[in-house]
Amino acid sequence: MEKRLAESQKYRSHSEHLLQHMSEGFLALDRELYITDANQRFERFHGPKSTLIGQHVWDVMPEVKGTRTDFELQACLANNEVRTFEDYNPKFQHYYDIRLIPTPDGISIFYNDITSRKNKERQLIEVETKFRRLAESNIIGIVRFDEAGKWLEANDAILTWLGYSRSDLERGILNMSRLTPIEFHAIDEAELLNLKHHGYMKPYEKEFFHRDGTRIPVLMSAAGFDKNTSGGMAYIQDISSRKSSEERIRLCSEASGIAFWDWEIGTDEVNWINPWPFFDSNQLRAIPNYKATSAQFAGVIHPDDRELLFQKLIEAITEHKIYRHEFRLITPNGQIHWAQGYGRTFYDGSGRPYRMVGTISDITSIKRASEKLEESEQLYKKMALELEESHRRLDVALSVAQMSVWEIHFSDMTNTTYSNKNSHVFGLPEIPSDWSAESFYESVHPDDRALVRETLYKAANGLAKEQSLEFRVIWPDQSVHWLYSRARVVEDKNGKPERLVGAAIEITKLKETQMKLQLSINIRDEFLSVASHELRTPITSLNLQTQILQRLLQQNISGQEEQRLRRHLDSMKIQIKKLTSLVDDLLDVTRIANGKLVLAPERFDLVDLVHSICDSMQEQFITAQCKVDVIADGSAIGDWDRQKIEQVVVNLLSNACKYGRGKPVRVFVLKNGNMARLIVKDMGIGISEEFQSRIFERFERAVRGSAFSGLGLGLFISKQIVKAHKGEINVYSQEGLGATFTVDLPLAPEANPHHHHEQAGAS
Amino acid sequence: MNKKRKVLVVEDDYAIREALVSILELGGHDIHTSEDGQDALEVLECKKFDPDVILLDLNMPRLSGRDFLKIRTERDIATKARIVVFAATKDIESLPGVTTWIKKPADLDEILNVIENI
Repeated sequence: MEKRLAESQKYRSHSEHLLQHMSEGFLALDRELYITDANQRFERFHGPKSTLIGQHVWDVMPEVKGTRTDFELQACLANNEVRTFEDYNPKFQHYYDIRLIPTPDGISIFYNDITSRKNKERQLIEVETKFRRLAESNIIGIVRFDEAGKWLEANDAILTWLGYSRSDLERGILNMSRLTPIEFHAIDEAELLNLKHHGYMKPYEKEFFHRDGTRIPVLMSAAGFDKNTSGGMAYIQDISSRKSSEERIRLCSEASGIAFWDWEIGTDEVNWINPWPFFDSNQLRAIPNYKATSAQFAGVIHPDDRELLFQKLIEAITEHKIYRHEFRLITPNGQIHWAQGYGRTFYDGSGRPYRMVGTISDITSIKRASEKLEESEQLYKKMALELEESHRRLDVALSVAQMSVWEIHFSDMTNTTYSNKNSHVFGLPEIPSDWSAESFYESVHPDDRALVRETLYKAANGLAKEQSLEFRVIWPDQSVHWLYSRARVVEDKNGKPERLVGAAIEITKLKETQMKLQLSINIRDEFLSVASHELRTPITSLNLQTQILQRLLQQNISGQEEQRLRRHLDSMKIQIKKLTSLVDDLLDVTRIANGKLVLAPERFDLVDLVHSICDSMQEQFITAQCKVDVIADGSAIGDWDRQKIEQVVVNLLSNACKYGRGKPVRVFVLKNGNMARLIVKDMGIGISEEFQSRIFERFERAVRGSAFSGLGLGLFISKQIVKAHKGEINVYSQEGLGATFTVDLPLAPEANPHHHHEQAGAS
Repeated sequence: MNKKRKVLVVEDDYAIREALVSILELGGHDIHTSEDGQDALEVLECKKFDPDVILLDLNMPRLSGRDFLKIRTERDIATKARIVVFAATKDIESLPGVTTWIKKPADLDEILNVIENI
């Protein structure tokens, strides 16, 4: 008994030791739930046993109150039965497996932390859920197959894709090789071998037959169950949509002339996602699966471009740049195409390039167009340069000429544009931006505004296409400046005046000079007028005195002395006559200058007049040793100023004698239509062409110097007289071969041959 | 033919006046002279001299030939006398009462002819 007791004691202490040190937590409570015992595990989380014993369990673990454990404790006490359950401790966030065992004193609690197990279970559930969802969805097809490739199980997805039903599966008619086109059998076998050896197969693209015979492109991978057993679970993805988008890309690229390439730099393998747009299908067959190594690719590149192309590729790869390059390709039939390559390099984790992906596009037409464009651009640039140059020249020319170019649009008179050098004509540093036609008017001298407006009005209304105008403008400093402007109307398509384009130049100095000149001419003419009047008085006196002297001489002296005196008096008379004629000419000129040439017309015969003049000039002709012949055709009657016409004829005959001294002079009086024509022809020194246009000007003589005397007014006066008669005077001459003067005068209106005769007879 | 005329010579230039007097004396005419239009008017108004012919210069001081003619017509003086203008210009149309015109510088014979045949 004692031994038994001792053994029992030994066993008890052994049990207690076990209780204290076991991995399960242990806690003993009395019936009022005060702690009576606890093991080390409990102590580790809740403090030493000495402090724990005697405390109420809810004081130590308040978080458990109200949980399942609380409920189970009550049930255990009430029913005196063992309770086993799991609970979650929110304080420790752990799961526990708890056993409550009723004891005579209270309750023994054993618990185990099952958190990690719990988590694994939950994860498993999650995985299972996911897998189930995957299997149940149509995203992925799942097939369990055996060693022979027979499908044992399959989800709805794969069955639906391939057009089979579950009963087909159950009948066992589905297997890998039957469902796979023959060209994929080899890869399937290779991959199955992989599966057997490594337990998995990498995803690869293959095709399955649909029940209707069409092919479904798929991406398949698989996992084995066991190293020693073939068969496994296959995961199949439908990539027909991806394939069709690839097809779209291919079509697009064919249409657009862009090819996509993928260059495995390590293996130097070039994958063409689509055929090259530049090469026909025969050429492509030579490159299986559209694959080519870069060296093969080089074969179609124009020899001159190869080196640079690879240089560019290497440059792009080494410098981490986008590759972009243009080069030429040679097609099998020898055509040259321009291509643009574009690519991007991909680098692995260590920075080594492993792949380059890009495009190549046919830019032949673009290139040609751009060549054309460049050509035309060059041409345009050249033109622009030339234009700029001519603009510059124009500017220089305008500024040198102090000229301004302007333009006015009739539709919008405020729209007045000026060349950049325009400002100076208005005395402005530059034309203000708000300068308008009104600003222009304001700058015009008030006395000239009406004239300017009228001119513009005429231009705008198509009354004058070309204009020239002199007007004054007032500069900001109030000084008055003369402008000379010439303009031309530019018409629109309908021939309506659209705008006026013109050029203006400042002519103030010119105008001042002109005015000074006019003033001096006026002074001269006034002087001549006064002088000729004043000269006339002494000449008149001298003339009369000489004549009286001559008369007295006739009456009182005779003999040798008389002869001598007479000679001197004759000479005096000739000189007086010359002087008189000169003064007369001057007086005529001043009259003409003052517009006082008044005609006193009367009807007479020019032939008669010429004859009588020639008679009275006999002395002069003899002195000049000229034989003067008058050839007249009947009569030439007109209403003319006899004295003035006489002046003209005398002037022409005097000139003929003066310049044709010693040579014959011929005078014709003819009728030419309704004009009488007088021709005076000498054989003298003639008149140079240069002078022919000037001899009818004032103070002009064909011969300079003193060899021939005269003021050079005769022909000027003659011309004015003829002009006043609405006639014409002309000269025809060659130097050294004499001169021919013609004078055309209008015949009397009713003058016809018959009348002439009668009148000639009557007069 | 040799008619003796009573001629009033109105000429401001002394030399011409004297020459005219000499010429008219050669023709045997009765002559009176005036230095200008004003003088001539006075001579005529106080009837110092009653001329058949007035030989009249146009440009004269005090009273010009033109003004003389105007006043003569207005005042109705010496209306029977013929007027011969002796001048360089020939705008007798605008001058009242002018019979004829001798252009300066004239010939002696021309002057005598005009005076005698007027």
